[in-house]
Amino acid sequence: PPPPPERTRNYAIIAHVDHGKSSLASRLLEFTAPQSSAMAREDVAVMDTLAVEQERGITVKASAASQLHRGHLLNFVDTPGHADFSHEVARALEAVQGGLILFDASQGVQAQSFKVFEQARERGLRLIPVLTKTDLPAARPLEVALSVAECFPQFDPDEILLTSAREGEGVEAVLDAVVDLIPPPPPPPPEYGDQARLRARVVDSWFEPLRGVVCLLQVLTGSLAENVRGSVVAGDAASPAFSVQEVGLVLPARLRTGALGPGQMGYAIVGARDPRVARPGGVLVLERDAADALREEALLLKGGAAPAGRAASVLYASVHPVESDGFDELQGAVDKLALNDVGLSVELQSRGAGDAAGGGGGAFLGPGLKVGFQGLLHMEIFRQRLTDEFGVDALVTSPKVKYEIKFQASAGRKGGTPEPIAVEDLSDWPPIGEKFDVYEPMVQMRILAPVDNAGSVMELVSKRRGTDMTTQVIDERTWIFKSRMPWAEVVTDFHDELKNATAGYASYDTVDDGVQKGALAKVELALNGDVVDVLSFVAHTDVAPSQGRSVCAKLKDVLPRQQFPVAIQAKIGNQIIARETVRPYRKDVLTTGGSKSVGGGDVSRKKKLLEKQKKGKKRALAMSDGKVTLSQAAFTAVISR
Amino acid sequence: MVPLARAPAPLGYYVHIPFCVRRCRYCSFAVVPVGPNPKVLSSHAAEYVAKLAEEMACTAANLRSLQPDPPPPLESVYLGGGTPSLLPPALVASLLSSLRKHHALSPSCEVTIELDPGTFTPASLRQLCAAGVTRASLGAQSFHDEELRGAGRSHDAAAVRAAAAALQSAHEAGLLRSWSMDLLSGLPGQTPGSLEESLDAALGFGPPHVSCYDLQLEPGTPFGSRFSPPPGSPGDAETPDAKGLLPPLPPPQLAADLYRLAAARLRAGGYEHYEVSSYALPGHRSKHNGNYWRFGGEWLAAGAGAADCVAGRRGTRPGDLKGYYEYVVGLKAGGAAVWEGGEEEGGRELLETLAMTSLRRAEGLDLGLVEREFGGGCAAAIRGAAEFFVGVGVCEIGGSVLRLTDPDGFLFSNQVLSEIFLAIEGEFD
Repeated sequence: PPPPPERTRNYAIIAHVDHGKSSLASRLLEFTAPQSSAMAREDVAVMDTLAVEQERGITVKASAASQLHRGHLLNFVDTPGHADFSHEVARALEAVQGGLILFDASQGVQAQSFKVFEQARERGLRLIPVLTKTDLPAARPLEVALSVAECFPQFDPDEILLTSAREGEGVEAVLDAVVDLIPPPPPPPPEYGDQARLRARVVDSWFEPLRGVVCLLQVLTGSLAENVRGSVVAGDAASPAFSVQEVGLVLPARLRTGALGPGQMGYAIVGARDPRVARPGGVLVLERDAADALREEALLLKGGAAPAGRAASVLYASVHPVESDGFDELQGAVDKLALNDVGLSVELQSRGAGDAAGGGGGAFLGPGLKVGFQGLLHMEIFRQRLTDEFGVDALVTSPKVKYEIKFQASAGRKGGTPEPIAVEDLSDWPPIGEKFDVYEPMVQMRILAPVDNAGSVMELVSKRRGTDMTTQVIDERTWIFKSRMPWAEVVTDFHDELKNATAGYASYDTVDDGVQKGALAKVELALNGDVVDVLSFVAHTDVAPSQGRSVCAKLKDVLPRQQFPVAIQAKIGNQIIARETVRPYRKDVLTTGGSKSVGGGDVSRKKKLLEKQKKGKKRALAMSDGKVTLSQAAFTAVISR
Repeated sequence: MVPLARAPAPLGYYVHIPFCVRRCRYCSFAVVPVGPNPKVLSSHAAEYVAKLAEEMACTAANLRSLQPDPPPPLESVYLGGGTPSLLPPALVASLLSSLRKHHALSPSCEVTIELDPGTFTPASLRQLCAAGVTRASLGAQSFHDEELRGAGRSHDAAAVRAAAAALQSAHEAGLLRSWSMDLLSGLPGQTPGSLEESLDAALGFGPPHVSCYDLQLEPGTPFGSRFSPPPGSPGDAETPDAKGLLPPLPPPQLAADLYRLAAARLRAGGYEHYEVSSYALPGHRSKHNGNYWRFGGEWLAAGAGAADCVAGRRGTRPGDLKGYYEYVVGLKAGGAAVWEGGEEEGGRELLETLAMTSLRRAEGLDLGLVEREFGGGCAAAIRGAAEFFVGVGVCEIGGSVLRLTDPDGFLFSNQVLSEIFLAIEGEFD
């Protein structure tokens, strides 16, 4: 039987990326795992279960586990640290009453430290500051503890816990602090009627091809058993009913227990193939209680509780199948992924395959989906997860930026000045000859970087058209650089350049900050004379020609060779600013002849061959097939221009 | 149809000698393998040369009925094969004297004979020159024994060196006005390194002319059946020998690079790349082949499988000995020459031939000529079709002349030509 609620603690581990969350989580689990238990130590070490997580050594999805310490049930959620996954952090924080906020003892406070701190504070969570990696030679625990206390005044430098996951130091003190400092879960809200009825919050859910839909649940009231009929209530809708097939604890290996009691966190495998039945944030109830639960949810919403929702996307790109007939498969996979990843938003492209000029990808890419992401890394992870988990290869275009176009009044214009338009697909960019101003979205950029790299950071910011720069000292090592910057400059490889400028020690985050008029030009990329809008981009007029040349040169290296030569051109308006050729990968010549021609007889032979080839060409034209195929690398070339 | 003003063309004469010791594995020409026993050859050779003489006489009579004035003197004679050097020099002399009975040879007439290594000696070469041969074309193909063996050649690299040395001294002694070294690229097992070695070895003998052919897989040849790339195989995949005995065929990508390598190496050696596969030092282009590629070029021919072009009509003789002999018997009995059965090319086909033969040469296609002969629409259509290829650097237009670039344009001539054919078809439909 689970301990009563007052002996239950729900907590999260939050931190800037690579500050040791997953390592500490593993040590915490090891500490409480009974040596005799079936759970091998190796199982514990693997909190990051997605293929992409293990490959990249980062956490993408929040994951959870339960443990017992001093007679208390501790449920904890590990969270991703990268800014692109802060929606996952937010979701994890919904399920806890407190958390550990980690700081790398050598790197100190970073940009994401602020962001996750703010996220936790908004929810009134009790945070315990912890320094990690104190065993590293570069560690400077005292200094970092002081600057943590300075940046976050509610922390007393003396209460900051020191840990080393490698040495296993400080682990017990952390568990003790969780038990002593983090409050137990609050009693169920008064809106809940029968307190014994099953209510379990869906913290996360995903689809496993062999098992079906798996939910990570936190039981709020009542208990969950196997072989009951359930439904998930979210907002004003209840999902179709399903049977609960298997229930257990996550340690983090699954341990089937057959039931979960109040306060416990665990998993349930439900008899459904459509992952949309169990949206994270929803509440799992028994099917017969669904109507009552809907009423309760409505009351809660009225009472001001935040509805479970999706994170607002910060950037969009179109996603296309690599195989021209793979659209349905792609859509199915993206839908399933979107269920599990609340940071994604998905809509069908407004334009289909038939429209050669359209944002649908036209003749080059065919139909696609418009997908919203939380950032560039998120976009990359998305593509990789599609491949890893669904076996679907997709092309993700370079991020769209929403430009506002305000047409200039002109006497010659018929029908008056058109209304301003928003342009996200560059195929909607006004035609040559049109007079207009372009307004681009701006952000407030906050960079934390070592003071040693101040010069290169400032150079990068000004190269990326950042203005109004201010600096602020965090500690003797780290400065904050703030600046107003065009969003388009952030989505084009800013992350990598910042990393290069600071040997990987900088971090940044952004907040939307209106729009600003800019001297911007659309650089069109044409392959064999056809403009490919998905490769075109907008750049400041000062750098547009050089960026056009750079993209042309990169495309030359990454476009696959074809049976025919491919001409790459970059154009601004009518002017061609760069030109490259991808050499064909085969020869196509009949070279016998000359002296070995039996009296010029090869002329007719070759002619026959050419006539045949001509017919093939005609057929190809009729099918308008045989176009250049674009690879993901082509879009990367545009992003990293 | 636009009447075509033909320039009085220099007249060439092709004579085919079909005998070979054995058939090379890539060869699809009209060839009669006779094996290494000279008796087998001599049982055929005298009869064949006699038949050639008969055909030459018939051709001359035929020409007289067409045009009472004597034909212009020959500017080139070409003894091709097969392996003409298998013929005893006396038979070659007899053959050339038969020819002289009917045709004057201009003082600058180029008389070429194809020679295979191992089939001639410095002494027999002197005899050939005495009989009137002025130019030789050596079928060396490679300087690597494995490559020669793989291709099914009847000689080794040492024979190639000996033959090349003999030609070099005959040239230096003034016996030969010019000579050519023929090489193959894209042979099974060939690498950039081995091709470069062959090229260097070849250039060491100072040939005034080099032909370097990219190996083509012809259906019906041993190579054609042993090396069949699976459909849709990528350009960087090599094709294995179905019998597993030969090294794999270089992937198309590598074959293209071998072609580029040969072009670069030979140009650096001072050779002009004047045709897709032909390279010459100044003044040493092949006159005879040049006539094939000239607009309105005409030539006569004799021998099994030989093709001619007379009065704008093309004909090809039967390729087997029996068929050829019957053809000559028929001719003597008043039968029609093969070219008489041919259609005179005009309009679209003539323009296609013009485009094809012009673009294989460095000189390119004169769109001014196209405009004069076929109208402005055709010239514009070709220009339009070429625009894309100019954009990608495969073609260039200088003044009114359209050219393939070297080497990428040459490597891609079929793409350009088929596109131009398509444009021409549009104009004539």
